[in-house]
Amino acid sequence: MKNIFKPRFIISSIIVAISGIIIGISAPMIKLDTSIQALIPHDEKMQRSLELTQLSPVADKVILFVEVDNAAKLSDIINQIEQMVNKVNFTPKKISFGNFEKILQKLDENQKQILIKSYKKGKHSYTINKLIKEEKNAIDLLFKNVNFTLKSAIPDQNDIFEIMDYASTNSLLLYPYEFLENPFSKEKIKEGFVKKVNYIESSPFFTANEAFFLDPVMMGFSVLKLANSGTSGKYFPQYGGVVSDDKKSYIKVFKANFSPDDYENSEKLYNLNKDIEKFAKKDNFKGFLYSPHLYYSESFKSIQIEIGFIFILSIFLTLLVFYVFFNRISILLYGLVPIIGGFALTFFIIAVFKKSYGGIAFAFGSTTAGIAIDYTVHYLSKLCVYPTLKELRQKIGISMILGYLTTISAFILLIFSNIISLQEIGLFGFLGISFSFLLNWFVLQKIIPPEQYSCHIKKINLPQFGKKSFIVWLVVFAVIIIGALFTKFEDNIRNLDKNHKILDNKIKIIQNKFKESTDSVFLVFTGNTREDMIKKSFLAYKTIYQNNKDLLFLSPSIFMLSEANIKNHKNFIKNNFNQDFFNEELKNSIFTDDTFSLWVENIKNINDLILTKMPDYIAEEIESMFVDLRGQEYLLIHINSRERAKQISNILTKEKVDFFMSDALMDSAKSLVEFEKKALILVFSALIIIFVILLIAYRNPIYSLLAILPPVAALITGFSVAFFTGRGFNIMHLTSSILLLGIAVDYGIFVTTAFKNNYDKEEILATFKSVFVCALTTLAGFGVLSLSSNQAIFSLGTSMFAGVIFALATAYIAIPNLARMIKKG
Amino acid sequence: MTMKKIIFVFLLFIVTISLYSQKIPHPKNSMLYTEFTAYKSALYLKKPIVSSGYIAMNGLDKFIFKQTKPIVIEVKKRENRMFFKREGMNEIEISGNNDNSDNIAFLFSTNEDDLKKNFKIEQITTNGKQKYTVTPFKPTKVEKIEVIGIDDKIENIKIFFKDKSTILYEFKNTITGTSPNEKYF
Repeated sequence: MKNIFKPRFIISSIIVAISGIIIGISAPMIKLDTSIQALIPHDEKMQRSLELTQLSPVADKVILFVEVDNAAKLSDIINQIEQMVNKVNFTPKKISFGNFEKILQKLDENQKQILIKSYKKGKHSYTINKLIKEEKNAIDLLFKNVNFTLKSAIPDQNDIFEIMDYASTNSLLLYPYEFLENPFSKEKIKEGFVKKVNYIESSPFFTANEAFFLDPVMMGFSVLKLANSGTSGKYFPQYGGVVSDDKKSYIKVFKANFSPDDYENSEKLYNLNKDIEKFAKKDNFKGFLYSPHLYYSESFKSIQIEIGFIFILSIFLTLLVFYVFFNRISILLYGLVPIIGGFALTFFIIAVFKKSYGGIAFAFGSTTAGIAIDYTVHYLSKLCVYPTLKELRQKIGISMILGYLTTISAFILLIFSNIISLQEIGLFGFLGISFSFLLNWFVLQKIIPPEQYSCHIKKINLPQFGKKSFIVWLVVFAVIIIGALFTKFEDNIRNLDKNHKILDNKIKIIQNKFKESTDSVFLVFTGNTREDMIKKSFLAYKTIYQNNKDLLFLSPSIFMLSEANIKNHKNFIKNNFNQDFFNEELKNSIFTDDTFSLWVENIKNINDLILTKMPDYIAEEIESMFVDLRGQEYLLIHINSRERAKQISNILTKEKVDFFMSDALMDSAKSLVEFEKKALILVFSALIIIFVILLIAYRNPIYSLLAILPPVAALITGFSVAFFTGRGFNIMHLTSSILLLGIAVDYGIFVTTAFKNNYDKEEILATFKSVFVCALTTLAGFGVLSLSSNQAIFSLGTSMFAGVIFALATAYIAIPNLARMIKKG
Repeated sequence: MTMKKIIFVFLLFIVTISLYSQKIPHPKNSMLYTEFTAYKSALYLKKPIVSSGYIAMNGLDKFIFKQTKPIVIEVKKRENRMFFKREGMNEIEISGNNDNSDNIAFLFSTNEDDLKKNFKIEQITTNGKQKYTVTPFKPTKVEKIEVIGIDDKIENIKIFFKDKSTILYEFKNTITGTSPNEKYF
């Protein structure tokens, strides 16, 4: 009780309280980003693939899947799910220019003002402003009024009618004469009339419109068939979606119209999926939503929970270790000053300067308490050994500064990597540890200097290990080295994300029956103008049609022709249409002689013929395929599977078509491995730099080698952990290697210095104790990371955990034995 | 392109017959089996296109229109919803509220007042046969429909479209009041 009135207790309490408040204010200001993109090293090709994927309509796709035992139940179930879907309104954080304009058109003057005030115009889209509660309610109501729900990406009945009319009306120009059969041969004209009659016979209530008279030989139908062959069948939809061949499964594709990192709306989607699954369970059918948004949402939710859990547990365990060894509540408070103060200043700087921060970096940052507390542990361990602060600093000051410098040099190294997540980890670690060190040096050591503090350090008799233990250490090290030899480099970026077993299983279920997918694979065309890109895509389409029709895709060039194509088609018509053939077959048909006079007239005036206005559905679909990336426009055609993409790519490359395939996953693989190898070389370079620093400090190569042994052992352990945990060596293992360098070298420095400077027994025991406690607090922090469902955090946790344990074993067992051997020898 | 809309009109007309038995002939107990021959005539056709098939009905909610020649198509009503299927193609649902301008939603309605709001129904009797003329107040695709029948049996229906085409349905072997064989559905 007496303690609480002491100035140092009051000052410490104030610092801890203020720090807590700063954390409480700053943390909510930081927007968490859980995308795995931040884990990818940015080379040009990979960055382009990722950005193109983010801009593509695939990133916005939501697929509804339904499977029933009894086909008769399907329509009723779909109807009920549609009602559920239509009840969920979204208020998007970002809206494309096109959508924004469309919404504006639906609003009255007052509502327009609310919308315009709530969003600010960006380069590619409108972004929502920070709104107060009333403004948020008003904008939510506005989006509810305009019915901003999931929108079908599959054409409805009216769209289909418009598309059919468009295809028929423009059949003369759209028909791909380059690779389909000549429709003007006598046989084809006869066949065309038969198809036309069949159409009327199968549509008894049909009434003719102008499009009917502009397509006598059903060329428009051939165009529509081509468009449909590149999709899951969306141009012949059933129940607004696509039904499987056995009539028991159904998918409907929606556009979400909000970005995947819009977590608030993704949460609504997540809840909608839960409702659909609940309904499916109740009515005994299979039904769910699948979307990239749900991947983000799942990662976001789990990482949020895990960060909180990791933060609390790691601080608790760190302080517990601290308390067990120092055995005094008041010391806990003093020990908290550098940690909480360091965290508070770090959070504050990030909140002010960065605003958005990676979830992985944050989870990692939460555990740096285990490192930051090291300086406090070293100080408090020696507090009772030396009578004055001056003497204490003389004895261990250099080791502390050297330890700090080697540790932060590892974090600084990460800042210079070209991976956002590692940069963030580096920055967090650098700030957190630096502030902790400074608070330790300038605040803690002033609050409780040795001369004013009555020591009650708990005596702990740490055992000393002899030669047998050293042999065991050697055997374990050999096993670790063997493990390291079998470790492979990770080439799949998705292995760094959370394991989304349920969602991965869902897409497999969908792909069993349908062509739909959300794989980020695109056939891409570039050019100075859209005309160029359309021309290239038409050539690619023609090439695939002629080589393997099963690989056809939905090309905009089916409905939107380049000027060059139109010219070719007109020339074809001029050279191949035979009026006599046509008249003869018309005479033999059921149609009157003047039925198709409008069409014949068009052929006569073929030079003046132009395409009519495209239906809205097609126009929007094509518009979404053109993506503007940093001033350069690309035409993106989504390919439903990697296998198909590979085959398409082979054919187009062989035929020398100008294109490239963009695959965020595959494009990242090569660069990822390259990066990992390069970075590993960098780590070894850092090791050499540290060795040089030690050489300068010790002026003795043997002691420098001893001091560097723990980081080398830790580094190899971190590498082999990838093998023992059944994973490839990934960016997070690499990160831990860099950190292990910085942390483990401290153990080496403190223990080696003790033996080099011939410390007495008490000093050596105090040194062992401080290293031991430092290792335990670090383990308490990083060990918790191993519990994460996020594979990146798990990799970081396991390799740090194993690395620190073996570094401790090296400092505690190997260095003393080797030092004794050196002294004897 | 508006085939489905016309199907609505036709089928709903059939439904209408059953719903408004006081006005238009209605099969006894809403049970019907009848065979038809249809003649589609249009200005652009040299001769009518002839088709044939049957209509079966067992209660207001179980209905099938099946054309068996020259191409098989069927329009079914089940669970109060309409479906269209062409041989070799997928079945599609025909939505009743697809286009309000055709007054199709009103035709589906079971509310007699709504029907009166949208259609004018006239009846004359000659030689013991009743002739009904059903005219939409706001015609879009269909100009009028003529129905001729005796008691609860319809002899023929002729639909006049705005594009000057017509379909004449002639019915034979009509049985009412008895549940049709399940195989027809």
